[in-house]
Amino acid sequence: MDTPMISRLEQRIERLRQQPRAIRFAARNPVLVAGSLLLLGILLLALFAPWIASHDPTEMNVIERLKPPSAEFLLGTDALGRDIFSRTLYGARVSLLVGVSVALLSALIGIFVGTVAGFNRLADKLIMRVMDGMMAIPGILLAVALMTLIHASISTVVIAIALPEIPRVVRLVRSLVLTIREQPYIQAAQAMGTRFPLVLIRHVIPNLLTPLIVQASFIWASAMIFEAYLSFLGAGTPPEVPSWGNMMAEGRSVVQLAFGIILYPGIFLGLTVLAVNLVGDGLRDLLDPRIARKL
Amino acid sequence: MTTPHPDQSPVAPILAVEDLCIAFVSRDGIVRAVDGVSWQLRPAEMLGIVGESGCGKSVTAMSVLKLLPGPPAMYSSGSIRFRGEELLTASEARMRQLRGNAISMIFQDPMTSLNPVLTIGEQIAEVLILHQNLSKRAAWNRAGEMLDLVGIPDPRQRLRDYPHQFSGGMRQRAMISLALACNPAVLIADEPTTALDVTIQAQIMELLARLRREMGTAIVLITHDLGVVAECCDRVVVMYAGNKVEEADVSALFSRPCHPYTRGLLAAMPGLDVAADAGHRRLAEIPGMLPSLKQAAVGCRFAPRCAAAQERCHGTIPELAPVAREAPDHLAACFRAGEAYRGELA
Repeated sequence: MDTPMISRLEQRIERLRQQPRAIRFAARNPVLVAGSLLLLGILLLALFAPWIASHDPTEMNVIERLKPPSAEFLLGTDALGRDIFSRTLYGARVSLLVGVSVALLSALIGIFVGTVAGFNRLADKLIMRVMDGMMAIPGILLAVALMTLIHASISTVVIAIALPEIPRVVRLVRSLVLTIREQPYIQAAQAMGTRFPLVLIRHVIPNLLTPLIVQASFIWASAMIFEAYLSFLGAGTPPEVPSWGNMMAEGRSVVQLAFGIILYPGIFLGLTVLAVNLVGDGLRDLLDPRIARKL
Repeated sequence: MTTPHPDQSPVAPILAVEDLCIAFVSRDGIVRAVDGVSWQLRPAEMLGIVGESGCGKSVTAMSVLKLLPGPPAMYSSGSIRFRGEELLTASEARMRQLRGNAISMIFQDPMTSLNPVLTIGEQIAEVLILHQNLSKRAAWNRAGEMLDLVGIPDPRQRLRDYPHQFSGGMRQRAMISLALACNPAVLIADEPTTALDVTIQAQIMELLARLRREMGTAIVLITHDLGVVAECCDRVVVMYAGNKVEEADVSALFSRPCHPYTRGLLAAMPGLDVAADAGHRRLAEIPGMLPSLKQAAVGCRFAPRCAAAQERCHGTIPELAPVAREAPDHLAACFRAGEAYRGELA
C-alpha cells in the first residue's frame, strides 16, 4: 500500500466532505444538475408566461407585421403582427404539457399492460399480438388519421402521439418483467411469505423503474418533437393555439423576410429536448445503485 | 466433531415428510422428481439431505414451503406435516403465514437472492413488518440486531447499504438474518455455501450451528458437500434419483455406509480417507449418470451404476429397511445393505 497516496486521498476526501451538500451533489451529477436547471428555467418561463410576456400571444396587429426585434417586440413580430417572444413563451406550455402527458400516459399504461403480459401467458399472447399490430402502423399516419377523425385539440394530439409509444413501453416492461420474475429474490420474497401484489409493488416494479424512467424521459423528448412536426404539418394542435410547431409552420412562407419566426421556437424546442434528455441520462446514473459513484 | 445425537426419547417431530411424491408434467412425459421420500425433523435438529445434482434435494425443500409453481409441478401423494398440520392441503393464505415466519428458507446464491434496489435494512424490516406487526422503527431496530447477530460489523450503518455493497459472505449472512428474523422453528438451507469460497463456507456453517444452539431452530441442510454434513448434521438422508436410499445418524453413516451409492459418494470425497483403498491418488468416481426419471422404476434405480448389483437388483425394487437388527435407525434401500453393514461387501 502506497502510504503517501492514501494520505493524499484522505485529504481529498476530507476536503470534499467540507463542501456543502448541494455542491457535492452537483459535482457528482453534473449532467443531471445542468439538465434540471435548464428544464427548470424553461418550466418557469412557461409557468409565468402571462406575467413575463409583453403581449397577448394571439393579439394581431397588422401594422406591426414582420417587425425585426425591438424594445417593444423583443423577438420581432410574425406575419399577423403577433409578438414572437410572447408566443414562444406560451408555446413552451403546449410543448411541455404534451411531452409530460404522453410520457406519463404511455408509462402508466405500459407498466400495467406489460406487467400483466409478463406474468400471464395467455394474456401475453393476446397483448403482444395487439402490440405488434400497433407497431405496424406508422405513427404519423395514425396521428393524421386521428386528427381528421376527431376534432383537433391538445388531448387528441396527446393520444395520437402516445398510442404508437405504448407498444414500445409495453415491450420494454414485459421483457424486464420476464427476467425479473425469474430472479431468486422474487422467489426469496415469496419464501418469506410476501403476498403476490406486494411482491409486485415492492420487488418487481422498483426493479422496472430505472429503465422505465429513462425510457419515459426519451418519450417525453420525442413527444415534444413529434408534436412540433405534427403541428408543422397542420395535423397537430389547432392553429389558434400558439405552439412551436404552429409558429414554425406559419413562419415557413415568410422565412426570407423574418427568419426569427422559425428560429426562436426552434431554438426553444431544441433546448427543451436537450434539457429533458440530460435529465433522463442523469437520472439513470443517479437511480441505478449498481453504477459506481464518483468520489 | 459431530454434535451428540438428540436423545432417543420419542420427541414429536416438528416437520414430517411422508411418502412424498412430486412429479413434473411436461409435454414429453412425467418426470418423477421425488418418489416416495420420507424424513422427520425433530426440534433443534440438523438434518442433512445429500445427493448429486438432480436427485430431488431442492425439489423436496421447495415443496415444504409449497413454492413449486402449480403446473408443471404436481404433488401426487404423500404428506408434509408441520407441528401436525398438513401443509399439502393448506390454503395459500395459511402458507403465507408460515413462510418466513415459522418456516424459513435460505437459497444457494446470495448474489441474486437479495433485491438489488432495496437496502438490506428495508428487506429485513419488510419480513418483520409482514409477520410480527412491528412498527417501521421497531422493525428497523430489530433488523440491526439481526445483522449484529450474524456477525456483520457496524450493523446499524450497514442497514442502509444496498446488496451490491456487501461481499458474498456478508450477503449470505444478511440472507440468514432475513430468514431468521422472525425466529422460525424450521430453517431450510438449500446449498447455503455452494456459491461461497471455502473459508467463508466454514464461517457460514459455524454461524448456522451457533444460531441453532442459541435460537433452537431446526435446520434442514441441503448440500452435496459431505464434509459439511459430517461437520454439522445430526442425521443424514441420502437421496438418489428421487428416492431416499439411505438414512442414518451422521456417525453411523460415515463409519458404516451401507448403500453402494453412499459408499461411492464417500469414496469420491477428496482428503478424507474414508474410501476403502486409501492409497489411491485419483479421486474415485461413480460411473454412469443419473437415470431418466420419466420411466417408472422396475428395479433399483442405482443398479446400472452399481458395482455390487446382482440379478435381482434389476428386476425388483429394494425396500427401505433397517440394515441390521442392532441398528434400527440406520435405513438403506439395498438388498446387500446387511452385507455392507457387516463388512462383507468389498
